Amino acid sequence: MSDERPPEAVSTQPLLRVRHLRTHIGTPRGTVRAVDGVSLEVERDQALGVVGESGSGKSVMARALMGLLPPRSASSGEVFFQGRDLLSLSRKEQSEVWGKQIAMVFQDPGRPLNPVVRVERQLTEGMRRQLGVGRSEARGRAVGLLREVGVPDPERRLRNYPHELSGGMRQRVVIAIALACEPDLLIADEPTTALDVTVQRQILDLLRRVQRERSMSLILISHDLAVVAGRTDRVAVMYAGRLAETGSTREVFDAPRHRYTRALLAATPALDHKRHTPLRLIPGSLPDPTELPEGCRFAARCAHAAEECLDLDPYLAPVGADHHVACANPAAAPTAPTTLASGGDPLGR
Amino acid sequence: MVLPVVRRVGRSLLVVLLVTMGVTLLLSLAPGSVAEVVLGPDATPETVGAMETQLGLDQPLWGQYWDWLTAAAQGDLGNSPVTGQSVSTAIVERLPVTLQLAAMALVLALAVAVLLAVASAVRPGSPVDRLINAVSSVFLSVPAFIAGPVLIYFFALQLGWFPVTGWSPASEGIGANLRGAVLPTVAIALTEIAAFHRLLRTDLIGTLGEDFVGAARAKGVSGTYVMFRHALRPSSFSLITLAGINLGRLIGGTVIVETLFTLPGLGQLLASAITSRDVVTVQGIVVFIAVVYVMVNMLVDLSYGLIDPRVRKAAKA
Repeated sequence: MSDERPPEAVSTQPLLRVRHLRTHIGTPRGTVRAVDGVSLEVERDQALGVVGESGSGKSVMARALMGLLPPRSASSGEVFFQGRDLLSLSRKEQSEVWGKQIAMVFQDPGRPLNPVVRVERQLTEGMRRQLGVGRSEARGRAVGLLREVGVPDPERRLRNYPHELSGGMRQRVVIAIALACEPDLLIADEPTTALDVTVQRQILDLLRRVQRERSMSLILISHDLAVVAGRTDRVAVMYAGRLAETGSTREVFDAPRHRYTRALLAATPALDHKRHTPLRLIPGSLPDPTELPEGCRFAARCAHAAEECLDLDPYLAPVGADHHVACANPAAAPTAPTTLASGGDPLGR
Repeated sequence: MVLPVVRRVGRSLLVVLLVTMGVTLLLSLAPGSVAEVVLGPDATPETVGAMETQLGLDQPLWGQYWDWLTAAAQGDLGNSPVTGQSVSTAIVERLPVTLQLAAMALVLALAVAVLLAVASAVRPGSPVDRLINAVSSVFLSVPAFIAGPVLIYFFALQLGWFPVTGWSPASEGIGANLRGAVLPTVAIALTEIAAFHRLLRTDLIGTLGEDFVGAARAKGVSGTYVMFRHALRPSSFSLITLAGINLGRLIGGTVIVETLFTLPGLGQLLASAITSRDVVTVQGIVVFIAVVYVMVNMLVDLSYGLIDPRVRKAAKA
């Protein structure tokens, strides 16, 4: 996270550079500050994991990047993608970027597919518009894409409607659609949440494989740390619309410094836990997004909250070469690295 | 597969049967008889009675109905005692006018309503949406017998673009035929436009909130493309249903508009048959309307499968 450097000073710009992104959504109960000042970067060919519990703002952030926000919402800040600020582009210029340069894989594999449109058109309409390819070439590419994402008998599948495919197959189609215009960045928002466990792994490995083969960048959003752990280079932990901790995936998981990250890791079940080890759940719940506290947003649930945590809003500060934490009182770096499985004692008891 | 169809047809026949029975009953309640109408006010009770006997009107009601029903089942709707013309011939003669009017009004209403609904649904609550809603409220609350004279006054009398009344058959030139059909078509279509617009607008707004619409936008295709190629079809179930019901109604005769513009359609035939107590003609038209209704509704049910492949699958299973 190099927030303080001006963009001109960087010779090799990151592919995506989000600065102070805020997305506020108007609701009958008040303004929800779903994303409230997030800055992050994604390098070329890199996979970034974004983790956080439901309601932490990770999905809204993804949708803000794709310009897919609900009505009555407003985004501010900067989203530099290949040097252009997406938020300041016109609707028309934005549509040139979506699909072609940034594509998205959605959560539930049924819902992003139009139930009354055959797979073929859903797969080819983007490239026909964005790349200007003709009908027969688009069809050929579509077959190739389906093959790439592991859909058997692709010619026949093109004529199918979504309901004629299984959940895993639909998610493969959704991924193929996202890949159709050869994007530079793929955003996968909880891509496996609605799938069977056996299929989940296949889809995640598929995402990682195509990301590497196509030298694409990937933002993998999940509430599940295990999903992100082995498949991303860097990770950002999100809490109540803010980033709590970012860094290389290995370092954040091996030596988490934010109390929230530690708590999350401890709340993740693992096979090599001793039997009957109780999972440590995080007490309390996310703060009301319409009335966020002034100080640290995690303070109310943090066992280490000091007086100052209630007033002082922490900012992301470096604690390592590529490791930033937004905490006034971060956990000490462990001398012996802990692992995902043995996560330490997050609440310090 | 066969059984549902049989059940369906059986149910439809029952509907037709009940409708004709009901009409016989209702008309028998009305005072006066066709004989009085045919013979005029100077007729003696004896001649009226003789004619009633000749027409079988002295028979009990169920007997009259049974005679009519057995003939109708063999395709003979009888002859009108007033004009002496065969009822089937009369219907076939009048049908083209009503069919053309109904079809034109429906197509016009659907085309306009789809455009208006799309314009509304792009930004619900926007000035455009509010304006369209206001206009459609006006259309909805203006009945044809108001809209008709207003249209005649401005476009026929003041501007002279269209004939005031009357009908010129298509066989005597398409141009004159269409010119004569414009005002009655619009008069019928206004209410339909408003109803279709309201329905489709609501359904479109619902569909536009679906994930697959966002996903389509995320491909970078244009908003118009998303609207017409993704959102419109899954939003059109209620619209098709309502359009079907209304088509049945329009083919059944647009009595008011046909009378207003003096168009020789089914509605006018029905209206004059009722006033002259011509039960035979009324029955014939009613049976025709009922059959059309039932058929249109069957077509509507079939069309669901065209709109949504999931319905097709469910029907096959």
